[in-house]
Amino acid sequence: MSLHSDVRAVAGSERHSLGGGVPATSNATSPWRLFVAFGVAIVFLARVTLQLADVQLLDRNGYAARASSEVNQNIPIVASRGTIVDRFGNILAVDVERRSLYVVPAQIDAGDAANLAMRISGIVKVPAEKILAMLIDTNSAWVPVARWLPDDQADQIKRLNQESLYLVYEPHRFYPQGRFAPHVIGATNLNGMGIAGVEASFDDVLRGTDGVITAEVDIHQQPIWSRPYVRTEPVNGSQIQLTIDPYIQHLAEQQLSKAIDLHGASGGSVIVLDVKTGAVRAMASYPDFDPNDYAEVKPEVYNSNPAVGQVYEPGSTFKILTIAAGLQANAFDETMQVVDEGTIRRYDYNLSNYDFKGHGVMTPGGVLYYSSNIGALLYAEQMGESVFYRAVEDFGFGKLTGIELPGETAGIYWKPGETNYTAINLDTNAYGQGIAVTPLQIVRMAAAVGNNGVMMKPYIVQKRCNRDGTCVDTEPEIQSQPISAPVALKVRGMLMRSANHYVNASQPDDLWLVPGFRVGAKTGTSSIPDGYGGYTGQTIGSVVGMAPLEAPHYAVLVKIDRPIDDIWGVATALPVYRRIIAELMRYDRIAPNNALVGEGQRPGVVYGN
Amino acid sequence: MRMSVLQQSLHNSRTYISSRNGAIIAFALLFAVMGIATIAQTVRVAQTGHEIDVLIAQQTALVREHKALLLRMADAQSIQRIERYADQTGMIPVQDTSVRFMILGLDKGQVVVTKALEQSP
Repeated sequence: MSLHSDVRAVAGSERHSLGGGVPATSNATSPWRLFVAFGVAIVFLARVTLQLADVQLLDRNGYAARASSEVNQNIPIVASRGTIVDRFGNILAVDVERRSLYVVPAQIDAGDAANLAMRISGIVKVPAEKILAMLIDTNSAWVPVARWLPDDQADQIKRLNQESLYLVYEPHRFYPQGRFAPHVIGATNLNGMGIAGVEASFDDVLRGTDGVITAEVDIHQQPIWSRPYVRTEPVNGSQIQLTIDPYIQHLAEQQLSKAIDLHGASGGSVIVLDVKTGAVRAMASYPDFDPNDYAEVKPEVYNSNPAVGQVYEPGSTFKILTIAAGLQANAFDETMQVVDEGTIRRYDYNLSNYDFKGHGVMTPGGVLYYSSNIGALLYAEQMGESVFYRAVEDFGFGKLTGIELPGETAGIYWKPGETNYTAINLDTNAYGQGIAVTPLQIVRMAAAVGNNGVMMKPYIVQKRCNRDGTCVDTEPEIQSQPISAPVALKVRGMLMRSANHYVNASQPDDLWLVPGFRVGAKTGTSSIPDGYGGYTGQTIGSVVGMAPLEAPHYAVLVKIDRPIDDIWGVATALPVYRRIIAELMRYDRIAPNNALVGEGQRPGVVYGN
Repeated sequence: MRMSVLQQSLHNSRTYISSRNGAIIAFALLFAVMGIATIAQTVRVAQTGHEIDVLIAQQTALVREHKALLLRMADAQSIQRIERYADQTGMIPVQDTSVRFMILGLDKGQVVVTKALEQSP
């Protein structure tokens, strides 16, 4: 204001001076005012020039980047998680985008909130009180009311025509088969990350790589097409095809569930392996869970796959290894005899058969036939520590099988020379005590016997296919050959007699375990350690074997944990095994041989289930 | 002679002014054409972009529908669901005794293995 007045005063005085020719006395200070005004202008211009230089020259890139970051935004394009399918291509896990209902409480009319809550409740089946609490939660800007709604419910919400309700598409993992092979497939958490099973072990492959759009965006984060934007396409996750056969898996789960209910057991597992390749055709465990609602069970249920992650003492099923190892090393042949007196004293301990009864003179085949602990012990002593434990190692015990599932454990046994090893370990290990194995290790051993001594690496992933159509097949892999083909054939013959002995054990004549087929089987009943050097009194009943013995196709293990009504594997696990083998033979369209049918039996018909 | 020089000078001056105006007009026209071309190009980019957006939206909707159909298909193929439907409709599982087999013969290799199994002690 004052500067303006001064300038006008100066101008007036100049006009006066020019007109009159007489300088005014007040003009003496005018040049100074001009200089000040000019100086201020110069300073102002200098500041502007410096700022311009800073913006345009000195920090040009910085300002340009800030401007670009405000105008251009990176909009992520979420990659679709790959599907998981069974060996026939049936979908076991798939990502589907569904609409989720969100609400902005600030936009809700408080007077109408209760009414709106009631209407939403009727659609999404969530209690109205719960929804009302969300609607009036003004401390939150954005509240999820119901996620991944079915299409019909989302459409009904849309028809409410409420501006405060937002339907947002979100990807969600669905497991359409529900409780089918949950320990194998696993589950993903709310962030879409695999937390169990194949979902976890192949998380990086299934997940893919997110893409991005770099563009100028509008207020709704939609790209503005003022110029072509940069779009990096997402790489969707690979499809994983499992080796699981849907029929065999269903059969295993169904039979296991029936046995668990029948015997009041706490858990169990069934594994079916293809002996020629090592492919897992079924892997069922109980307790199970629904991957769609995995949070409803305890974390130890969905985080652990008992078939590969829990160890147990195999009991008499381990005698298969004892006999095979001795025959392979020529420590004895199939005709060498030992005397089983029921109980034997070793290292100040009395070691006995399960029934404390002796079976007299027996051959290696008799050890499996009568399930003789004493016979197994004597044959193990005959072959010695080095031969026995080399076979244990050759059959892969104490090591991971390498199957593509998380949480696998190696099992535990003490080798000669190790601190915890004592001489009695050989004797007890010979009949499957004092050694911890996984169910998968035991069935792999049986598969090796069925595959002429060649032990294949078990695998669960058959194929991985990328979105571009390229596929990588899993090639069957030989892990070792612990026994020769002739020895494997001899052991299979012994297992056939062992299997048939179970059917009519109280009678002098054996009958066929599965009439019309040659089936091998060995049962086991093992005590559960209490963790303090003793046993709990509870047992695990199991059976392992293979069929058909002429050209084995399947190796099967059935394990029933802590049965209440009967502790013996013959009573709990064997009926399940018989039913599964009979069904597998039909499934493979193998005709029964009428010469392999005993008195009172019918081809392919299994009794006592 | 002096008039002639004056006239010549005037003529040159007019020619100069005329050519300068022509250049200005030409530049103006050029800028106008360039401006129109730029606007046209921008409009075309925006139109194409809009068409692409529409196509992407269609693609997204189709992918969503495809996934939803896959889910429905998988749900319909579920063995548990099929079993439940079968039970509801009064169907019963095939009994062991219902199956009849026809044996067409064993191959030579199978016979050899069979004998070995039988002879194993």
